[in-house]
Amino acid sequence: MKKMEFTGGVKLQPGVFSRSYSPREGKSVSVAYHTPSQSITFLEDDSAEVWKRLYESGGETAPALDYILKNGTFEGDPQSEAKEVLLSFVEQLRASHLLNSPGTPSIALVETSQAECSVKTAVSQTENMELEVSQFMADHRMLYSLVVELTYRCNERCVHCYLPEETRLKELSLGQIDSLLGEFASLGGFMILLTGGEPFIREDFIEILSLVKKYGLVTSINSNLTLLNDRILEAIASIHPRSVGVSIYAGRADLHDAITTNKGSFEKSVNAIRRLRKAGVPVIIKSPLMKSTAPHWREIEALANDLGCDYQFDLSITAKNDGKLSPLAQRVTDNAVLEDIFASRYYRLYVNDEPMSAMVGPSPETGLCGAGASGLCISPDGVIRPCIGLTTPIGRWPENSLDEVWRTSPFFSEFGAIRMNEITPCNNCSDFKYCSRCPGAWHAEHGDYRKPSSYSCTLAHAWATVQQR
Amino acid sequence: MKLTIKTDRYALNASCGCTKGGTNACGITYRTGQ
Repeated sequence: MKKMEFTGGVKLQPGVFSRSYSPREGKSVSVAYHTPSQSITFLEDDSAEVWKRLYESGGETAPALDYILKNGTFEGDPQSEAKEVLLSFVEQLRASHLLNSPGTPSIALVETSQAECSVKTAVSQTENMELEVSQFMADHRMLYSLVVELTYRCNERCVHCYLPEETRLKELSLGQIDSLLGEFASLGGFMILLTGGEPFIREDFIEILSLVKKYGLVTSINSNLTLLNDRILEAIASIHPRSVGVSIYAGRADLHDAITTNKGSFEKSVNAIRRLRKAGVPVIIKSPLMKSTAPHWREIEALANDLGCDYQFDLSITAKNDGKLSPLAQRVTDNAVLEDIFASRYYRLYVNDEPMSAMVGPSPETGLCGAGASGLCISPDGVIRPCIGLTTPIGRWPENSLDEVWRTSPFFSEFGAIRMNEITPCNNCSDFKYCSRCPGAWHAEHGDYRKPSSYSCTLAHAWATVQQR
Repeated sequence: MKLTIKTDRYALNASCGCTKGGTNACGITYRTGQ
């Protein structure tokens, strides 16, 4: 018989964030992040309940043990069997970076538990837990994520930018952002993106970071990083962000600076990335690829490797949010360049031998996209939209609360009812499963999210050509 | 009572490919739509 001894409490790791949900129907679930190790953990039913008690008590084992004793069934001594169950669970949580121990092991095991540990640690090639969680939230109509465009002001003037040239809006104040984030968190919101414009241009950006900390949000930040200073760096590191995304358009200064039209911007951005990485902040280089930069995409890959960053390419240059088409001149149209990019490993993630989007075809069940499924976007002046990529206004905060918009806007049922098999020419397209469609981009280009951009077809065809070789 | 968890390392570049976002909100595009 195994014998265990608790010698003290356990501690939450720094950088752990969690939310628990109790849907009206179905099991309780918890989602937990440990952002320094880029890990996400999903717990259901009793596991979610026990974790919730550990998390909310800051690692105290008594409430968790109490739950197990009240809800478990035991063959022998309930106390020792409950402790064994908890011990095994705590070991799994430690393996997932959610718990550590203060000094010497906080739970002493006299004889080793043989409990099975179901922890996976490698990046899965066949599934994506973040997407599964988003799907779960969508299925339960939970507002889970929020994109906050803090400002449209920016110190760069990128040639492809989707934001209108007029960027002076009456921006939400710090107090209003406090209320907004509080409301979001009270509704169960968990993931947030702070973006712009250039968010660092706001003089209260550091105070905004302290607000996301106050509400325990898993936070991503998009920035060009050129305005990073010691104080912002320290504040970013202190909130343990999920990631900092930085726009890098080329692997060398001349090409990059020609896109930003800001001489010296490449050097500033790259230096800032080095500083963030040194501070242990996960950084992802985000590269919208354009006519002038796409042939040189491997230089960006090499730079990202050198800097210890992840990277993401984006071929979907879109019209401006106000419908102006000037960015479209930057699109990559050279098939040889497109096929070179689509042949790279970045377009083979997550589904064994096929690209991720091959998971669905234009069946009667396939909706337009996930805009508004589990998240919202808010413009600097409080306009609420279903997605950062879709400018259709569905409310205005604070006149309309997030909850009111989420529950009552007719957009969700109207948009959600549209099926891809109603969209021409998608319903007869053999390349559909390779299509990175974005109805928001279609809306920007044509004023109609049901009217595809022919550029979606160009990209899908290039990807399909590569995959079918 | 058997308590189990599922943990995965999340990929920063896992989304539809749009670099505007960062919350994976539209990622379900590639699963079942709405």
